[in-house]
Amino acid sequence: MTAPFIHTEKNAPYIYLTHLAALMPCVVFAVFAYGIRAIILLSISVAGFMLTDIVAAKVIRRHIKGEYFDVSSIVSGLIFGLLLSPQTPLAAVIAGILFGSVIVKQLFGGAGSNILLPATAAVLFVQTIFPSSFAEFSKPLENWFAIVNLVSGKASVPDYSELSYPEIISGFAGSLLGVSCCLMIILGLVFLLVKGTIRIYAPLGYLVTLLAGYPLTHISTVFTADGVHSYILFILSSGILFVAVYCLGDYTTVPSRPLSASTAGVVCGILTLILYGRVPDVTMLTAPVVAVNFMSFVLDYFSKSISRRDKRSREVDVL
Amino acid sequence: MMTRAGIRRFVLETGIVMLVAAIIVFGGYLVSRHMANERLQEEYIRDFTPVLSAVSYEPLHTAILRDYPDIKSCYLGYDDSHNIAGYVIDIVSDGDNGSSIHLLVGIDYENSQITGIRHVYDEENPMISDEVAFEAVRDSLVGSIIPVALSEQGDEGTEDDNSSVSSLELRNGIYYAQSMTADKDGYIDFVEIEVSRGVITRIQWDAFNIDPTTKLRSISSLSGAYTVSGENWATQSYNVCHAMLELQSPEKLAMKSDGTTQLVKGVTCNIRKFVELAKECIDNSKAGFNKEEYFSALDGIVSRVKGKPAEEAGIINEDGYIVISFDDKPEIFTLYKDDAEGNKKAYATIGVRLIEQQQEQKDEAKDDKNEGQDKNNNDGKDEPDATPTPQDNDTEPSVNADPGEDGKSSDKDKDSDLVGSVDDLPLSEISTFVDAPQGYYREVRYTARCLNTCYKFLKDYLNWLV
Repeated sequence: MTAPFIHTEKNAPYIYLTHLAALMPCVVFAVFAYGIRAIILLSISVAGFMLTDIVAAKVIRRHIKGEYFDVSSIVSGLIFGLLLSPQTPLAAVIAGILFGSVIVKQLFGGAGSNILLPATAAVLFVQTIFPSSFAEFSKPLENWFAIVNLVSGKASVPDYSELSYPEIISGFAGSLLGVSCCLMIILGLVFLLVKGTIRIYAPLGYLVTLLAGYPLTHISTVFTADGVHSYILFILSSGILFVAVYCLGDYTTVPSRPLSASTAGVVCGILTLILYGRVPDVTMLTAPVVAVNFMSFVLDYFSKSISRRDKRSREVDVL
Repeated sequence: MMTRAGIRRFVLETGIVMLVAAIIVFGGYLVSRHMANERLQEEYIRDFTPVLSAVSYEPLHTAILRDYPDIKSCYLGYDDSHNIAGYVIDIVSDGDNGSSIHLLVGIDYENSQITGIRHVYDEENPMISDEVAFEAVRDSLVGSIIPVALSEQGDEGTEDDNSSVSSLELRNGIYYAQSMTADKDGYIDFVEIEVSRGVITRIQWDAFNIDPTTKLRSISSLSGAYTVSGENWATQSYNVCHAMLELQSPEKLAMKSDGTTQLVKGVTCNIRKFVELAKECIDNSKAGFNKEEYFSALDGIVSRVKGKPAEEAGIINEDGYIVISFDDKPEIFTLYKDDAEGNKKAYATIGVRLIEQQQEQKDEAKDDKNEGQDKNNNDGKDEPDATPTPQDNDTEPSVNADPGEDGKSSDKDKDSDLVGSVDDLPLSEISTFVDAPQGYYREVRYTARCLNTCYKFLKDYLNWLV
């Protein structure tokens, strides 16, 4: 190694560990709301991502330093699990894990080298291959011990229309496993901010775009009582907060520079608004993230000064 | 690299985050549960109040619901004191031609009365498609006590429809028969039945004693003054009566030649008297000879035997029964016929109605004879004929001379088995018989079936005794 060296504790394992800790509130909510199904789905997701990452790395014969422990597999597994519907069939989960871990992550060089966020790409894959998995959502706090849905994929559809705001804020509106409780996501965000391991520009750009864009795209209804209700439901429970914090806050797949990150967030928000109501909710959440991931290098490249465009220094610019 | 202290701190921080998360989630759950309950109650009140008036409703969770696939859910309605006001049952029942009916049924907790029926018009092929028809059906059933049955066979009734009870020949009213003789303990058995809509709905079998100081046999058996083998006599009497309520025929009790039956659980006593008197009651019902007429006729017999009415003879006990045994005058209730050698031989016994009927015929014959004698200036004396003879009556004597196979039900009643139940409920259990509005027999029939399913579920759930 040659000088200069960067002296910081915020190395890759630390960043992923803080993200892992920040995901814990959502895990707590998912288990509380959906019971044994959440435990099974999250366990399989995490274990599956870890196992396939290890196996794929060995098969590809990619060298892993002895001191390095790849926490990113756990984080990917948790994000993937929390973006699943509570009644996602296990076959779909396994297919998603294989796609996210092997195709998206390991084939592109493993942790830190992947172009796409493995979890969102895997969820999008599951939605494409097993669309019925996300067709219906179980009501939270019902059938804590029910696991039949994990085989059949059938569930009742909760009625969101008459939900009170405390229910929406508490996350009991019912949605994907871990995305509906805004309080948990905010708690995770606060933790990441305190630890300084989140790049806030992309999430900010994304949320501002959605907060401002939703009323503009729903100008005819947003000022009615139902419109306001839908707006609040969209912001707090649809999963955009989760995507903002845990998907767009990713160090590897989202542009690192403030301008490019903000642009990525705005683009992601615009794509989300375009897709909202036209595709299933899970596609609305994950497809824009995947699209922005593809754009990251381009955005980063053009956000650099011309003299530095030939240098490979994404992380150094920010840290 | 993180130091060990750094890792410990990190784990501690993560633990705190999870703890805070758990507290927030649980707090949110409590708040949202309260809100959700309020919203749910609003929904329940909006949907259920038309069928059952209550302050709040709660879903009933019981495994018994699995046995009733037609019942989608059941709710308990509570009044303002949080006492159970009744039940709301959500039921979907299949009809004919692929049609179905989805109802919300309100049932009062105290008296099982139907407080309301609401049609949920969400069936693909609704059995009742128009509001007017449903209102007619609802009006005919609301206020009834479950279980219900139709009192008349409708024009649209199918062959296998066994809800009608009009084919029974019994006439409504209270009918009574008492034994002509006392048993060795001095008890005179009596049976009283009540017939409603052609169905026996109540039976009492008991016995009073010729000794006015002795209580009814049921009371004596409960106090231990009268004992039989097995259960006490009062319980056995109740069991026999209950069995007959279900069977609607004493012949189906499969009495053996020794007077016992193995058909009724817990009954070891001799039920011959019961069977005889129940048959007599049924004959009386068919003939419209009710309890008042019976007592009047018995009083007439007493007058002829004792020369004065029962009241004057002081043989009416404090319960109002005429306490008389004709042990010393068997010719009053016995039918005789001449055998091959010309000797008179008893072949059957008859009850009060037939005794009275024969007496009337004899009186008429006597009058005719007197008229003939007057015409012929005949001064000869007319000797009274104390021995009744078989008459050419439409009604058979109440004791069958051919008792049939020992311990088996008589074949002639087998056909009436179907008549004995509605929706797998014995007719004796039916509380209300309703008249279907003109042209709506089918709709009322299927709605009644839903109500009876509700009854069966509640009976199972509440462990109701019939």
